[in-house]
Amino acid sequence: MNRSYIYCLLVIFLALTVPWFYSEPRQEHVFGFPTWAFYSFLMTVVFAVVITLIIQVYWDLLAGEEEEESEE
Amino acid sequence: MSDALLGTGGLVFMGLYLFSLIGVGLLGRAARKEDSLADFYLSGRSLGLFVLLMTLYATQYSGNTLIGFTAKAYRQGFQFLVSVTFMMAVIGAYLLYAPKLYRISRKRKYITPGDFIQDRFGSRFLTVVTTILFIVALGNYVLSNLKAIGYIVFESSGGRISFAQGIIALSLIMVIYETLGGMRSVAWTDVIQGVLLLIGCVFIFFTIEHLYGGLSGATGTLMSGKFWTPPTTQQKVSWMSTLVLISLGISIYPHAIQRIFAAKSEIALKRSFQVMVFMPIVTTFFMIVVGIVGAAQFPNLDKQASEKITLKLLNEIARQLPAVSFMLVVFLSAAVAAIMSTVDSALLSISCLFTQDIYRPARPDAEQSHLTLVGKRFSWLVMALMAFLAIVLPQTIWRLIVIKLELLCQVVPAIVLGIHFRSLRTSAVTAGLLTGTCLTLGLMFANIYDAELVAKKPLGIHAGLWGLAANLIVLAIVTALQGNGPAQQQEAVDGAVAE
Repeated sequence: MNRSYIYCLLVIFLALTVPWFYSEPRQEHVFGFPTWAFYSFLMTVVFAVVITLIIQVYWDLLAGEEEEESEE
Repeated sequence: MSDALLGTGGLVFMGLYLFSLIGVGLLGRAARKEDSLADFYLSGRSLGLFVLLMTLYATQYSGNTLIGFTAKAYRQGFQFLVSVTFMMAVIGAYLLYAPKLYRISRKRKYITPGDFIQDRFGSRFLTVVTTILFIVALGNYVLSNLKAIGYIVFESSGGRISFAQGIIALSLIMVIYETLGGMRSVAWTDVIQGVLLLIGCVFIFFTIEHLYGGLSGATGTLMSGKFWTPPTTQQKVSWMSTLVLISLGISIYPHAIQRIFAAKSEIALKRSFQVMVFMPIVTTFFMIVVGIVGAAQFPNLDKQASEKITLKLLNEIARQLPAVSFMLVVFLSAAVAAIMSTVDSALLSISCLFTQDIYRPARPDAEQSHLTLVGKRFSWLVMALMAFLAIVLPQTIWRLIVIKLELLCQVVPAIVLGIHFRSLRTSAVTAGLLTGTCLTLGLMFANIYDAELVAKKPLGIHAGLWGLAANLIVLAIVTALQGNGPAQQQEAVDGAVAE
């Protein structure tokens, strides 16, 4: 995994939190949210989980470890 | 004079809480290891997981979260869920630079973000320009929060404590504990303030759930209103623009960067980020639900009345559930605490930026104890000036005060690209920064001068992001014209990481 891919992943998941795919109001709700708002909230939680996983797995890569290894 | 939210007992409680902060300041002073800038401004780089987490939390969330966000949710409804995302995205934005910068800061003993800029680019001009942008943004931040604190104290006391008295008293308390123990005192008071903030959010959320059935209980009313309609295409673009602007801007706040420098270990920093990313769910999200339920229960309030929706709901809670009315005191203390934790951190950072990045280069032989003293004196001076301005500035000027994150965004390329791209030249970064800042200010002032000629957000995108785009384009053009070539300073910085 390259550092650039991780940043792209962050941007993609951030963009997915915007309810791009909803344009018409629907008379239905999920836990009191309109469906588009529930989608946005759900994707926000997914985004948070992705960030946590990236911190857990790729911290050293983000800190530039790969760069130093390739130089060596 | 309005009705007091707090009785005499409540005011005494809040007064005791506020004076206890000075006690924490004294403890911070007693715990100091040496009379140096690193010890005073970064707590000797010793913040462990819990204190680091709470100080990041209390600093990132201000009184605006408790009062302002609820009011915005009252007016904008579910569209203000964007605030939950941008608070999380701040942690994502930290990942652009924090892991690498933390390691470099340990090797190179950085105290301010300006230290990195100077070390990386070797340009006094660039360092001073970024420092000025940081100080202006932080000064605006302090001003708007001081004003909020004045209003809360005035409303809570039913006018027994005036707006000006509230600002002066709380400013004094903050500057006293800050100059007593520096970052150590500020971080420790942040722990108390962060806990209060969390309790305040959780309390009002669950009480509203209990009283009104939360969002599900309000569905019938909300479905027939404007909140149910999805955002338009322009609103979605603006939603994305808000996410990018705010997450980049908040993540580059100097007091946030200094907390990264102050982390005791990399593990503490990682774990803090991993917890922080979920904090918007129990803070921002809770307050948005409160605002939306408030809109269903008390519809049709005008803008001014909706600004006080949190206080209105609290009054209603106290009336319907007298048994929990003591929590009103806790909530208002939390609101004051949230603002104080933000102001004290920003103030500490302003004084540090001035001392380390502007005063110290002019007095390179000055001893650490002298520099610390200069920083403390500067804190008092800045706080006095800010308190004065918060009291006397006319409302019309406040439209200019909102310029914070828009400016901070212009520093992002210098830090993020500067840390990752060896070939980036000082001249390219400087040209981009100046262009971006001028365009941002130009757009914002043009909008204030003639809102019909220049929209506040042209094509739904914030002025700061237009500035950032211009910043990056100019940076790329200058780089292309001058060609690449690693600067000597970057080699030194890279060496620090590789060691």
